[in-house]
Amino acid sequence: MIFLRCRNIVLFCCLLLTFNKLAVADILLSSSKEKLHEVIYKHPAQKDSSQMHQILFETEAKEFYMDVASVYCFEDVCKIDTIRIYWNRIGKYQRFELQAGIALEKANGELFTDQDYKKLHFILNEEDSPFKNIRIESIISTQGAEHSDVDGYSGATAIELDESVSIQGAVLTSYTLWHWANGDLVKQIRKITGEATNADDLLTYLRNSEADYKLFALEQLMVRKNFEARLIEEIKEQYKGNCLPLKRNIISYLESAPKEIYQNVMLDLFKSEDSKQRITCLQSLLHTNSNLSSDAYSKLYRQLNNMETYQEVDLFLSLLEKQSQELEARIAPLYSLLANSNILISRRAFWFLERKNASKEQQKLLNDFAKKNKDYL
Amino acid sequence: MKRRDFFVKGALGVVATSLLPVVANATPSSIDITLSDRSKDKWLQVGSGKQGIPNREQIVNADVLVIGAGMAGISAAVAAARNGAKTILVQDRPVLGGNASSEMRVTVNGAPQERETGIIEEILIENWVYNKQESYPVWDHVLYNYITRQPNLELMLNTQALEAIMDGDKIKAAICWQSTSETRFTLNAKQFIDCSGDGLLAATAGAEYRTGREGKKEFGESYAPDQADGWTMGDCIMMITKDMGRPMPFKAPDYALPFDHETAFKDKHRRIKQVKEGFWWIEVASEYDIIADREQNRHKLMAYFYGVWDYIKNSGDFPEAENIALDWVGSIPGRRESRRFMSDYILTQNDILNDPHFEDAIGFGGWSLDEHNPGGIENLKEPASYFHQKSEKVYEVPYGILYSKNIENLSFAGRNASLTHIALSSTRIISTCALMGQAVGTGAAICLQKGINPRELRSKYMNELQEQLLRDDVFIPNRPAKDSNDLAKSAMAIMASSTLSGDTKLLVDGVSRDRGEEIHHWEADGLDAELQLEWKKPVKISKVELKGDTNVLRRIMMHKNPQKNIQNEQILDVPPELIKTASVEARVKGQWLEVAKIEENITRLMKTSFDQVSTTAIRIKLKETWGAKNAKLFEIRCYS
Ligand SMILES: Cc1cc2nc3c(=O)[nH]c(=O)nc-3n(C[C@H](O)[C@H](O)[C@H](O)COP(=O)(O)OP(=O)(O)OC[C@H]3O[C@@H](n4cnc5c(N)ncnc54)[C@H](O)[C@@H]3O)c2cc1C
Repeated sequence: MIFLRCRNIVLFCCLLLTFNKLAVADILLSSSKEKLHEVIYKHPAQKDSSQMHQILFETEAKEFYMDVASVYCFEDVCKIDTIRIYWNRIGKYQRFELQAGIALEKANGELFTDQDYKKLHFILNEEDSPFKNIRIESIISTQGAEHSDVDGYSGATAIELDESVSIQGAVLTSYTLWHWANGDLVKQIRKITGEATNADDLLTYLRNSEADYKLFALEQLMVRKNFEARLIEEIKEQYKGNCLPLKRNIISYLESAPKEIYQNVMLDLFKSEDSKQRITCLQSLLHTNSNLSSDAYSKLYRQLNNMETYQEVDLFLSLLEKQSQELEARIAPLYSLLANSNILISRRAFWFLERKNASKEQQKLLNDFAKKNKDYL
Repeated sequence: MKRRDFFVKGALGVVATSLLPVVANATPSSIDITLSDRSKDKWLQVGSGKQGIPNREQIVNADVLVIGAGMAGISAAVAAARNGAKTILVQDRPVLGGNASSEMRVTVNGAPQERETGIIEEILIENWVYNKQESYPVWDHVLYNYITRQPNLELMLNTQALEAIMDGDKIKAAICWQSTSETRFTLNAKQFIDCSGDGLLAATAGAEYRTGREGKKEFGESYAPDQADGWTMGDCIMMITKDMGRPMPFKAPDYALPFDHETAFKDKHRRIKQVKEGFWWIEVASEYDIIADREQNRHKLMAYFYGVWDYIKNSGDFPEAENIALDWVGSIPGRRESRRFMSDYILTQNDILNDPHFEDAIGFGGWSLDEHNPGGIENLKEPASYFHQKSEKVYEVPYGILYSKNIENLSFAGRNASLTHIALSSTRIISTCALMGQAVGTGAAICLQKGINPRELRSKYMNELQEQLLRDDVFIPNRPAKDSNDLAKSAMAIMASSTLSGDTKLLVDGVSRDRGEEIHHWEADGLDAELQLEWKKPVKISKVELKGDTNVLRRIMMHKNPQKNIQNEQILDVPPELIKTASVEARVKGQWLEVAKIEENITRLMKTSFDQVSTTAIRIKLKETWGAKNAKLFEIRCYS
């Protein structure tokens, strides 16, 4: 989608100054309903290493925007336009706008076509673009500028840019704008919004249908170390979803909670039909060196017969191995694992049990197992 | 018996070859006489009071002899030695690195699409440990350290290979002259690898070669000239300057030649874009014999260079050069092209642009067809280089271009391989040359093990060579590893303590780097990550080998203008993704034992070896990286 919309003239005059260091006095000219935030950002395409003071505008609708240079180009031969980039409240790029009459240019002086603008929007919308990890000098060499160190000019390109991620003849513009839209400013917007939210807002964000909001809420909860029961309940609910990054962040959030809360929630999550989920819980318990409470033991043992995969059993036994006290009553049920048809599982149990005190009967079970499976031990 | 042949036999028997009668009409007899006849030389040892003829003859035996220690020769020698061959590396000058040494200071570039791994990468990373300051003289010694610590490898500096001693179509020995010790060496070996660029040894062996440019028709090369001619790409010298912080005058030496900048600047590549590090277009070539013309060309290059610098300093057009002074100017020109030795296959332009699959691929290239003009700076009418065309993807380099078609035990690697002139305009890039080197070094060692020569290796044992290269972390496009001795492939389960991206299964899929969107790695969520391989029945293991991450899309070479790397925010250190500390444990009878430790690791390929254990599981603990948050691997292998 392309937005070519005219804006309040006074505001725009002020915005055009963004590329010089802005004096706060200039900023006050802007519409009173918008909040201004002075932010500092070093754009990776900038020639000098000094950081730039930029003004980020926050609208009433809690959108953010900034007017930025369309391109930084080392050779001072590019036409630089001003382009306005919009983000939502959690720093996700939304769209861009150009002042009426302004059109972006490609390397050969051609103007951007409608198709190019569409592509640009598509590129900016892609958070994981290859631009993320490319240095400006690689882009420049793809453009054909010569690098004096190499034996010719094609050498400096560390990566070939696919047609789909860049606009022919406007790679530098794409690169420059991508870093405006998806660079460090995103963090700064999140920080601004984060500071203005309370727990209720975060609960709403957790329930938002978009994973990005949920992740934002978790990030904020982690920063605040907020583990209120109502939040925890919601988070457990959220763990049922399929979004892997969210699941991962939930585990990290829980791992930072007080021990009791952490263990309880983890064992609640462990009570699942899904072996992968159980593995994640066991991995976390193991990794955090958790000392299991008796309640925790009983919750774990309840799943003993459901453990189908070797990895689960291995993790479970490793977790037991780490516990300081061992009660006989907790060992006995494990003998059932010796009968498991998966040799990896039964063998793991055998080696675990072999090192425990065994009753006569148990010893016999162990001996029989060793005899029967001597080729596998 | 040929005269040279007799000579070696004699030498072996009598040791002091100077006692042998010299056959006056033998060619090249002049060399023999000056090197051997020392009857007038009476060395007086004052300490012992003894006088006599000093012994300046030595015979040394080796399995593999590598001539030339540019990055191709270094890679060849290290690969041969590591694969079990007793190897000698001779280098005619005092430092290592060839064009990449402090003598010429050429940047070690590689395929721009993705970086080479294997020996060349090891060296480039190691340089960041010893030489963060990016000093070329220190780099020479980084190479020296790297070479001299390799078991099985002997380095002979200041030693020039002069002539091959033949037994039919086989080389038996190389006659070498070590200028610093006045010693003439007869180096006997079973396999010979000429990585000297100019290939004097190979030429004296009678190996077939070409010089100049092929005509269009011969191989259907659209960028070749219509008619074949004698031009090669030229030689260059480089320079480095420093900013003195105050105006620095410059007076050109008497022999400087004026620079016709008006004509020169008509080509957009022939411009003064910086005043820090030399200009690749100050180049001089020859139409007939670039080797014979070497000294004249060196003088011309110096003259042209000082002419250009005079223009920069004294024309007034370059105020940015006001405080800049020359700090170093090369005295030995770097060379791009001379002899290209012919093999069973000749790589052409079409192989580079159309990227066909070679069953005998041993590595890859990726540079554009970057053909410098015939004549260099003496031909200002043509552009300094024709950047004909880029190869979009990396292209495969076959083993079939790396051994002599008529000398049985001779291989070559680097710029003197079996290429057309146009193909060389791409493959000459140093890391591409180094991959060729690693392949022929490994190939020579395999030849020795099997008692064969390279041609037979190619026809019968290519699979073995490719598997060894892949194991040693060379990337061969379209050739996944399928080593049947690798026990990791038969593990029943590979489990990870966590997985952030990729999959543990991909660690045994035979491809040790991601291919665009196609993932071949496993990445843990954080450190202190663990991997566990489980076998159903006990297996015997004494080696566990891992391949870590160095981000092959990032540049890692040093630069003669370190400021540039700083500006470009290049990482001037060991790649942060790489595993620094890890350990390997084996489960024996249900008990975990630590069998190997990896500490201060700086190589992508981490090889561990230990006393063989009979085990049902191996556990790898990845404890620390060089900065990255997560542990990431591309491969795991286990061997008996
Ligand atoms: C000015 C210039 C700029 C270049 N720029 C780049 C660049 O930016 N990046 C890039 O990757 N490539 C560049 N190249 C190309 C690259 O340098 C060469 O193609 C590459 O170095 C070839 O490697 P090699 O190992 O085959 O030979 P070399 O690097 O030439 O090494 C050959 C070695 O053999 C030794 N030798 C020669 N004869 C004998 C003998 N008879 N006995 C013993 N030793 C002998 C030599 O002293 C030398 O050390 C450039 C080349 C030149 C000339």
